[in-house]
Amino acid sequence: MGIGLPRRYLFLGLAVIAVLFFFPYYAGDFRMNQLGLFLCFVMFALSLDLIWGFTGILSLGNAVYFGGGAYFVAMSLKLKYAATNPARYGSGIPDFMEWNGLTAVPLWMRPLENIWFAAPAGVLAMGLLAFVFGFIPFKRHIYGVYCAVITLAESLIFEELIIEKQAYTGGFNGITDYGSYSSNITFYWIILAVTVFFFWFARRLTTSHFGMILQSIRENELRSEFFGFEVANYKIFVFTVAAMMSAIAGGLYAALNGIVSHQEIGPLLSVEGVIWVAVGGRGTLIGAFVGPILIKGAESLLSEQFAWLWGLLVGLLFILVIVLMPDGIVGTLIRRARRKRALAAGRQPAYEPSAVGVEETPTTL
Amino acid sequence: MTANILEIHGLVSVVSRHPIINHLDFAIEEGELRVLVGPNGAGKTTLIDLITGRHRPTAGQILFKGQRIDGRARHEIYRLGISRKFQVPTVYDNLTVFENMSIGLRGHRSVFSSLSYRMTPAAVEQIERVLAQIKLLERAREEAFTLSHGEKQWLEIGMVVASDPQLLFLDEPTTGMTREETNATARLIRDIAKTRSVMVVEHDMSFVRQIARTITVLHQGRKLAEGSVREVEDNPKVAEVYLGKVKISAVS
Repeated sequence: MGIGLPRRYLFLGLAVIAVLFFFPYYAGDFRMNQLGLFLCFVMFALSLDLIWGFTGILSLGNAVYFGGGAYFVAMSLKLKYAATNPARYGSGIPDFMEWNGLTAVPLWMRPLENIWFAAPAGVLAMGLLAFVFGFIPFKRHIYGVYCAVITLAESLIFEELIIEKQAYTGGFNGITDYGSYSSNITFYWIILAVTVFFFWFARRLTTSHFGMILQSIRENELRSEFFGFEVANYKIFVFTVAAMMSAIAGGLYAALNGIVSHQEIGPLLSVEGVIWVAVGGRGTLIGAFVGPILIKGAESLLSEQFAWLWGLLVGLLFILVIVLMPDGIVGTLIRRARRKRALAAGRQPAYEPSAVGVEETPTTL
Repeated sequence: MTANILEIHGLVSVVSRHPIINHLDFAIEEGELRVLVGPNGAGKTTLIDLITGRHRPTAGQILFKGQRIDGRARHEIYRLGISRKFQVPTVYDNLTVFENMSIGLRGHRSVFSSLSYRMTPAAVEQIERVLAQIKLLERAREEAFTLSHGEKQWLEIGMVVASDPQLLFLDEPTTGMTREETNATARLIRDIAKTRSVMVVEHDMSFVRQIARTITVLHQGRKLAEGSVREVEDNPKVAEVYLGKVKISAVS
């Protein structure tokens, strides 16, 4: 596809950034916090768009890295909070540790007390994990549905691990009550700045020659292999970069939200991310912004209006978008423009490939 | 006598106990334009698959310029200088014609070199030269899915030519083309073959006559005949294989 934002729409992008920048002034703290969280989801969706939308790898385990980054930050803040507020828990260690019979913070966890160590360590750890989790299937030429199943299993494993090891993770309840950066306009702006940076970064990556090779892999990885590209290396690289982006998004999310739980690391968020990208439009980057903002926004507004009906309505919205616009909202708009251009040039496109289904087994000849 | 760019000794490929390639000895000379014909299921595409690393041979040796290449990875074989065009035209539908060509262009294959790669004016010029040759220059900015079947064939030929191989395999390059397009393709292939070794798999005998110097006939994974167009056409064994067709020249 290769079409993100044409240059003449640059002013539109700047206008959107300006609106987001001044949003807290007219919307209040509650909505600001909400939008901050949505922006974290946007970053998460962006990373998924890189691996799914551009490279064609359907990952149902992208939340592992988002949740991983989130847990590193939450744990760090929690350790610090417990140590500086000993009166709150009695012994200066996180509440869940105390409930599970620990009397001191385990030695290996001590370095995490420093957030300036914990946050980058989380991002690097997730990068390393993604490298390993990417290396195994991609070097073995596992793709399509099989790859999706493997990543889903990874997501399940980590969710289970978080729930089971509750003395170290807070278990089912997650990590809560560690002080957060909510209602902090500076922190909101930091999140916005990182989101804009990620957009710029993803746009540069996908419009470069490297990005074109990623798309060639999505279109037909066999053809690219016979053009001398070691496809597995490209996949491992983009998978790792995307995981680190997710980890940063997760860390910011944890700091803003003040609570992280197993849901942020498990299949639930992983699949939600896929839905956001699908609704917004795969391989468009802008879709990764439109998808989560629209769906999470609708979820929030509808849940305030309709106590029990809202889940149904969001589901309906999702189905409607996918049925009416299989390429997502942004993807469909781009295709319409493209078709118009082709017709203007006096050519009826004989066959229009749909972006949906590209992740299926590459064309075998 | 010129050296062989490709030599195959005792090649066997067995798929579920069925031999697709059966003790095949085969060679292509440096700078040669060879045509490979044979009925359906003769093993023509499988032979290309084995040489380019899509499948591993069950037994036998494949030598490219005297170097063993059987069992090596696809990208490694490409980097030695071997390219292929698929039987079904295989281009990147959602990329533009120009972008398709730039993927084909030789060089910058590793992740980090492609990250820092900027297209040079010389590269653009090279792509435009090939695009002019395949008559797609004016459509360079259009997505490949807008091309007709024949144009896609040409685009893929252009892409593999841009990859500047020393040995090029073209698997049925004229399928879906009109007579005029086929003639143009024949001229194109003769042109391409001036500077490299080319092997073409083709059914269309009138096309084969336009380009062939030496024809190899493959049948049930074995070499049935080899020689000039006339020698092969007059070979009674070949006529027999093309069942019903008394002479291979009738197939056109």
